[in-house]
Amino acid sequence: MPTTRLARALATVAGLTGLIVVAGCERPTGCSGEYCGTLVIASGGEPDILLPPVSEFAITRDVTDQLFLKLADLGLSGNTIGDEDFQPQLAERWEWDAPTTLVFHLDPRARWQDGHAVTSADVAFTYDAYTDSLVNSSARSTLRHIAAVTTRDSLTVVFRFRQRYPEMFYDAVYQMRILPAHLLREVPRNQWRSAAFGRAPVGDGPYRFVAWKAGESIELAADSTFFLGRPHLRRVIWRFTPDQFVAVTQLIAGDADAVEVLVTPDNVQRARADTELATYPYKGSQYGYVGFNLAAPGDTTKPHPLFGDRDLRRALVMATDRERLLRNVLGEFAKVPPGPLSQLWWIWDPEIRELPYDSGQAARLLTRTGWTDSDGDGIRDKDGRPLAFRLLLPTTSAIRRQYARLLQEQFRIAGVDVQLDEVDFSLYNERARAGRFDALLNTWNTDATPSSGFPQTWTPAGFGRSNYGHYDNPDVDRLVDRAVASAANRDQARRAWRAAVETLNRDAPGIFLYATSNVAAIHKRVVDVTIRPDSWLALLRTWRIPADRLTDRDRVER
Amino acid sequence: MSVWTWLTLGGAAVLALAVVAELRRRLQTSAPGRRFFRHPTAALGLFVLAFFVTIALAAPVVAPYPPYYQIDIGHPNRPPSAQFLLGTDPFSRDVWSRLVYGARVSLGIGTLAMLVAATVGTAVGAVSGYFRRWVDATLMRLVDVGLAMPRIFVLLMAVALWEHIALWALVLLIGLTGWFGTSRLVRAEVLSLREREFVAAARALGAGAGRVIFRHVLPNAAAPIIVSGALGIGNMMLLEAGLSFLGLGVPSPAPSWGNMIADGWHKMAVAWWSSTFPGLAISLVVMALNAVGDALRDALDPRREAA
Amino acid sequence: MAAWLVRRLVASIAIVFAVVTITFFVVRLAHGTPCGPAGERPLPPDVCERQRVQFGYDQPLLVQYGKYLVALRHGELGESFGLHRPVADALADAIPNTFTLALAALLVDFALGLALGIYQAVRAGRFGDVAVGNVALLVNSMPVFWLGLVLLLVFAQWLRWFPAGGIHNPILCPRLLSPYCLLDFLWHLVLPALTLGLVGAAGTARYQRAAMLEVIRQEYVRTARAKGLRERRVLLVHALRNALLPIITLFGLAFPFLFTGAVLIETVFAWPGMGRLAVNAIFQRDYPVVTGAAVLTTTMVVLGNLIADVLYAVVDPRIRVQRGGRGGGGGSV
Repeated sequence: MPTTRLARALATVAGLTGLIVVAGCERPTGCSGEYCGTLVIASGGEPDILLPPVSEFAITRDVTDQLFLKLADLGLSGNTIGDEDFQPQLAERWEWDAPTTLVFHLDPRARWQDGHAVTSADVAFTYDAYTDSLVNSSARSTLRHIAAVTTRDSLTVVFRFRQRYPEMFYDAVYQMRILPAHLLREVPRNQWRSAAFGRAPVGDGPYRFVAWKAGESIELAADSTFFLGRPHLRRVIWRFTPDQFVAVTQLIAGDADAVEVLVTPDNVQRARADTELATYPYKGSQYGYVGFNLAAPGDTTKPHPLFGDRDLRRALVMATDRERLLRNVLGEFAKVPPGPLSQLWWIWDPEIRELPYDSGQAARLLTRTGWTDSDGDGIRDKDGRPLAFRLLLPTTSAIRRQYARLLQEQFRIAGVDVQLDEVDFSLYNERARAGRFDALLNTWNTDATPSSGFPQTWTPAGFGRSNYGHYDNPDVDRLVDRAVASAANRDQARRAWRAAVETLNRDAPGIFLYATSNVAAIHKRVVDVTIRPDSWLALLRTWRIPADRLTDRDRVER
Repeated sequence: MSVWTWLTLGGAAVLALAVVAELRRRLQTSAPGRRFFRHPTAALGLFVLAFFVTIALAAPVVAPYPPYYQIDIGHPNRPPSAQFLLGTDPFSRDVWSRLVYGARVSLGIGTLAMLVAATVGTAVGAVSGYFRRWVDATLMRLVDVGLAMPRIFVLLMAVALWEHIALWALVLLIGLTGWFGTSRLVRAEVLSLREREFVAAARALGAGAGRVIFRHVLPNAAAPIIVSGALGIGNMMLLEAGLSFLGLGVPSPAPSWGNMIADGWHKMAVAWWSSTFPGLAISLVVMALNAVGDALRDALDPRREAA
Repeated sequence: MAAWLVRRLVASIAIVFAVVTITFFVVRLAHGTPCGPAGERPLPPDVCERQRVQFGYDQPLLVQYGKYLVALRHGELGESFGLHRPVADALADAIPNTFTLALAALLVDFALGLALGIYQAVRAGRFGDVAVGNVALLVNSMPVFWLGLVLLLVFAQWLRWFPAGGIHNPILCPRLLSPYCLLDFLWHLVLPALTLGLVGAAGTARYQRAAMLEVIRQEYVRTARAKGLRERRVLLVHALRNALLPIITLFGLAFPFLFTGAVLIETVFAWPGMGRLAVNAIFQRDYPVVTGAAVLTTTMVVLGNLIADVLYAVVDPRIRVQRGGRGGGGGSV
């Protein structure tokens, strides 16, 4: 009879389901104690390759900083001058044999995770790799003051500099993550970008590599024999999401424990409202701006038809209500920078003189230079040409896309027609480098010190590299040189930097929109969280989850 | 401000009702007309379409704010209220105003793209069905290739790989990737029609191929073309919405229902209205088009029995 | 029958070949040179140039095309420079995910569509029929990604019944280790499959309703009823068998739709499938992945159509005689 057959079928299905549910509901008893804990980090990006000199990404740096050690690391104060504020890592101590000779003594306890000892040969090899043009690391230019790196014995390395300058120690240690020579020597340098090592790296850091599921996650496990102290968190997993918004959603849904930046004010609001999360504000290292192209697109010998005119640029800066824009996009989690500065830089000074927001003055300036709305269409024109330009930005940044739309309207009210060129990231970079744009919405992640980044972006040293807009003012160059040279003397350096920035502000090569204050969100059960602004996970090995706050996820034994 | 908004809303609704009633009255005299209105959703669909077309055409009158106007960027994302009927979006623009102006863009793109697709599809199908043999074979192979490639993939490639795409180019692309189904339909119709007496008669009287196709064959094949056209507009609108969602559709600041959803997506948790209402609008319009298309299919094809 | 099958097979291969060629040239004729993955500091031009030479992009287009075809014959799809691994590997990782999603969506689609269609046919003309019919019409008209967003908002964020995206719990279940992990995977699968399936189910329901109604009126059903058999048995056994035909048709038509929907759904739900892979590759100008994905998708679509045609011919002998099979409706998205 159909009914009893049906009933029997249903019963079997129900029974099977019940069995599965019961079987799956076993609670693994697993790990207990002070050295358990699993941290899941939701990340809006994925590393390309886990080989430090080859990759440019911040997320790669986050992961490789747990796998590889530097000679010494920046202290919490962020001071990059001299060597007193640096913490020993691979090098247990160092001394100056001569004003330009730096000798490191490596810690004999350091081991690669395949058992080999870390030797000075590794350091020399790393220096050679970082300065090799075939590898083409972005850190190469910061190492240009180092003449040679030699080994005195298996645990002693000697750095010889070409000259003495205040941040020489920082340059020597900050960029290079020491690599295992015995594993990478055989790999041809021009194939490093696709080397197998980069997908299964072997390091000497507090964590060792476990697995990388492309598009999904990377897992690291703590090295219990790490010579600087066993990391408390047994496992760290990065979970990749298509963008930051989804990452935050996963955090709030409880699928992740930590996120580096919440980015937007409502994300922070959501995180704060969540009783399981703790928020950690820290100084951001990023600043964003509209950069004008002072040269003609595609032809650097001629000035830009619009932006070659200093008055026009100044008018546009004055027409922008930067405070209101900031409040819309980033709320209280950023500040309007007084120039091309990030909050991380010690030269940050709200007193630096800059162009004010004054739409009336902007309008008068535009009219005085001949831009008037002669045909009544709402857009200013001069000699038959409308005041119109295209703003270039990448589709990958939600913040910049929002700014772009707000700016469009601000400029339209001022009588300027702006069209948006939202392109994919690689095309954006290509056009930025080639100078094929009118204006672009750009951000920079700055280093801990302005000495290398600022000249790269705002002086002729950056032509063809980071100085996309082709800005060149000899006065600014002079002042920057003076500032870098006098870095040891704080006051003198500060005055020189201030003068440089103020001169630059008067030229208005860009509209400096925001300097981020980051807010990280981490699950409340993680304690002893210290975040260093230049690299938020730098002190990850000191974070811990107390034994009484372990969750199921932490206890899983694998 | 809000009183005016309600007034214009009401006015548009009344106008749409009037249009539908008038249409119904006029079509009662013909059999297809009666068959059309036998569908319960046909009249409703017509009403929805008439309503949206009305507010789109009368946008400057209906919308309380200009579509680009960012009212108070310090306080975006206001919930629906008396002043802002559907709230404001993350750029502090009135959602209702943008919806109204967006109707112009979305409906316009959908209709124009459909026209492109219908024209090309009909031309190819007619030529293929009329001339048969190798013309037919080659063209139908082309159609097979076209049907095999997932449409959004092709569009993504085309739009993403060129630097900035003008609106008319977007319309053209969407249309040019959507004519394959129509061509098959038309071809089938033409194949059967060309054997009929009136075609033979026309040819005997010395009419050229073109004349035969245009004056005699196509008018009789009009029914399936019209039906697929009505359904096609809906598909094109959905496609434009999908492209805008991925960031490749109508450029800012012009509002389209698709890019309104994209603008508000990231703020869904705190401001659901920005993305929900445009999506609802698309759903209603496409639903109306589907209903009208179904009713048309039954009305224009006497061989089918109304289910 | 055999001759017809061979003809269809040859035609299918030709289609795939044509698509591969078109994709290859379209992608390469676009602006912008491929230059590494998206990063914050772009690669300097000389490294870009070296990469171009290394991957062979400086050679004339036809030469590249020839090389690509040769490699294709060996099953090699090239190397992705965005992901630094062979394209075939990347696709192999992604395909099962899209496949399971599509399968689950089809299941929801047909199960729900069939149930609703039968319900509507039985209650033809009455309130149940009209109500379900209108709701189905509305759901079928929704933008699929918008429906996904709404479901995500309601069920994952507000109600917390389902996870907010992703494919699994990475700590407890990086692979399908246990029955618990299977359940976890299914739990993650629900919302995206539901979204894709609902929109399709609405269409299927309308189809099924019409088919069922037509069959119900057939003579032989009346005869069976006259013979005194139970109503339910009559419906389910006789009517269903003939209503299967539209299902096969829809199966063939469903593949392109699923891929389209999958692209958008995978973005909304962070589902690591082929759609998302292809979209990211397009944005990053990762030529090998784009062409590889195009090849694979077209093959699947063409295969789906072929299977549908074969099943069709097997089930209904009348169809075998006709050529041109299913007349397409208004271009499906």
